[in-house]
Parts: sequence; C-alpha cells; structure tokens
Amino acid sequence: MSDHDDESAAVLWQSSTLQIILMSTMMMMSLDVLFVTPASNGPELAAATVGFVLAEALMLYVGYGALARIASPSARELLTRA
Amino acid sequence: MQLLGLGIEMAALFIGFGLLIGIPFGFFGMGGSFLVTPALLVVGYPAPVAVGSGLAFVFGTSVIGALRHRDHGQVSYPLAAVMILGMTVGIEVGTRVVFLLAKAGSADFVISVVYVGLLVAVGLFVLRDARSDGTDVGRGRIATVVQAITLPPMVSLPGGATVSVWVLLAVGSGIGVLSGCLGVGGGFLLLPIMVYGFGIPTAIAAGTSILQISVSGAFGTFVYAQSNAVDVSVVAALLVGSALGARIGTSATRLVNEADIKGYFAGLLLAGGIATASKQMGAAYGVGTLETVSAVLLSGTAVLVSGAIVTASINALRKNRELGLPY
Repeated sequence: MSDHDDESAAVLWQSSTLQIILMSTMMMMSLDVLFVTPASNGPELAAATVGFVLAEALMLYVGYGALARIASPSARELLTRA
Repeated sequence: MQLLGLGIEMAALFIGFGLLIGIPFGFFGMGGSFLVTPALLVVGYPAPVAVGSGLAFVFGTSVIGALRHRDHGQVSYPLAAVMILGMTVGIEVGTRVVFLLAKAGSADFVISVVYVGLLVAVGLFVLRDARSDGTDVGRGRIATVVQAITLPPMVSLPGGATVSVWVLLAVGSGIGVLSGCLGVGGGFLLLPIMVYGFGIPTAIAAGTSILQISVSGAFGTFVYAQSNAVDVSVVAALLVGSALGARIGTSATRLVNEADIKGYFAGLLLAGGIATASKQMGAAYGVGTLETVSAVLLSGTAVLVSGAIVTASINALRKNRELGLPY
C-alpha cells in the first residue's frame, strides 16, 4: 500500500468519525428536547430520562457499529504501518 | 458555545473521561461505572446527583454491552430474572438510605468512605488474582458452600450447578443495596460471585451480569430522576465517549491477554480509592492541593490503563502482521 493510500485511509477514518460524532451530538440535542424538556415533574421526568438514556445508548450502538464496519480495516492498516 | 447542554470544555472533558472509562470496561467487562460517581464527586457534584448520574451512565453503557453479549448467545435469562428481582428491592432500599443520609447532611462523607473501602478491597482482590496462577483453593470452597444451601425452589444454572432461588435473591438484594447507595452497576461483585460462587462459565457470567445491570440501572435511574438527581447532559457526554471506548476495549480482548493488564486494572481501582479519600480530606481540612491531587490521580491512572490496553493491542496487531496472521 502506498503513502497516498495511507493518507486516504486516514482522511476517510477521520471524516467518518467526525460525522458520527456530529450526528450523535445533533441527535442528542433533539432527543433532549423530545424526551426530557417537556417532562417537568417526578414520574414523567424520570420516565423521560430513562427513555433518553435508552435512546442514546441504542443510537450509539448502531452508530458506532456502522463506524466500526466502515473504518476498522483502514484503522488497523494505519496502526500496523505507523 | 454549548455542546450536549454543557460548556464546550466540560463536554470535551466528560466525553474524554467516558472514553477512558469505556476502554477498560469493554476489556474487563466490569469497572465502567466504578469511577464515574467518584469522578463526579471530585468535580463537585452533590452526592445524590453524582450517584443518580452514575446509575444512568451504568444503564446506558450496560444496554450497549448486553446487546453485544446477546448477539453471541452469552446470557442466562432465568438467572438474570431472579437476580433482577432481588436487585430491584435492594436498589429501592439503597436509594432511601442515600436520601436519608443527604437529609442528615452526611451523604457525601458516608458514600465517599464506603467507596474508598470498596475500591481498595476490590483493588487488592484483583491484584491478588493477577499475581496468582488462577488455581486458588478458596474459590472452590466458596462454590461448595453456596451450592450446599438446598432450600427449595432450586434453579439449574449454565455450567451444571444447582442453586437455591433464595441465595440468588439474597445476593441480588445485597448488590442492589450497593447499587442504590453508590450508583454502581455491581459487575465487579456480580462477576466473581457468578463465576466462583455459582460455577457459571465466565462469558455467560459477563453477559448475564451486564443484562441484570442494565435492568437495575434503568430502575435506579428512574428512582433518582424522580427527585431530579440525574444530570442528563453529563450522562449524554459520558456515553458518547464510553460507547466508543467499550468497542475499542472489546476488540482488544481478541488481541491481548487479560492477565497481562490485570495489574494495571487493580492499580486503577486502588488509585480511585486514594483519590476519593484525598478529595474528602481536602474538603474536610480545606486543603485545595489534596483535591487537585485527587483529580490528577483519577484521570492519570485512567489514562495509564487505557493507554496500556491500546498499546498492547497495537503491538499485538503489528506482531500478527509480521507473522502473516489475520489482524
């Protein structure tokens, strides 16, 4: 593999990571507004908090799973060559 | 600028800390939550919020872990169901204890002292385990004692052992009280009890304990959130980092021998104990330096352990590549 390929792999990995993190952050903010903000008292707030954490966990599981599939081979290649 | 409802520096700090905690959690299958509550106490959150947010973090992280173990068929549902029942009762009791202590104005002190004791005890246990060759006679003795209790009804477990439902309920309740009081999932206790006490294979014990922790974590989050004692922004930021860290840690298990890193993990637990004690003494005697020492110690050892796992993994990848093995 050439240096150019290494560089492309690094750029691909970095942009994928950045995209996932940015998307996660934006989704978090939306989930916060959807779940937690409207609930103001005890049980409602508690259920909304549990829902928010569960939704975030599921989203991160799926998001990082996709990231791992896309970026793992390039990351491994980079780490073993560096 | 705000990120996940926090200032940009605080968001970056919590995402980074989540990453550092997630790597050892993914690698060892326990210990993910054990440092979150002390870290929040060190940063200055009140004890109920530190415990409530710790439990919410445990819930999110263990949901991700349970999904991964379910994919590999490493969960015993009957065992999880009975123990969850006991843990639910225990969490309710533990939560009431925390709010009673908070009313009396001694929650921070008591929780910190219990934390120090547990972190040091478990740290020394792991250190002893790391130095032994895994042929500890005491382990067999524990299993014999637990399985000698034959009060019906009995449950058959993976691995061939038969254990009384009452034993499972009692163990679950005890761990639930600790979860409710300290905001921990209890994996650091559940895992050894299942492996050494119930004779369950390690992989199934890890999967089952993570499922239990996710259910008890959800219940604990609900209980604390009712009193508005969960900081959702902090939990969200920690999860973003820990979910990634846990993936890295899990992948590292295929490359690095756990025994090579166990000593570092024991160091992490012991450092957590010293950091919490240092923070408490700093606050009690008004010595600011001790609080700084506490923060540096906590983050420094987390960096050291995560760094050791990542470095060992990279070295293993390079070695596999040199030998022409799949990597």
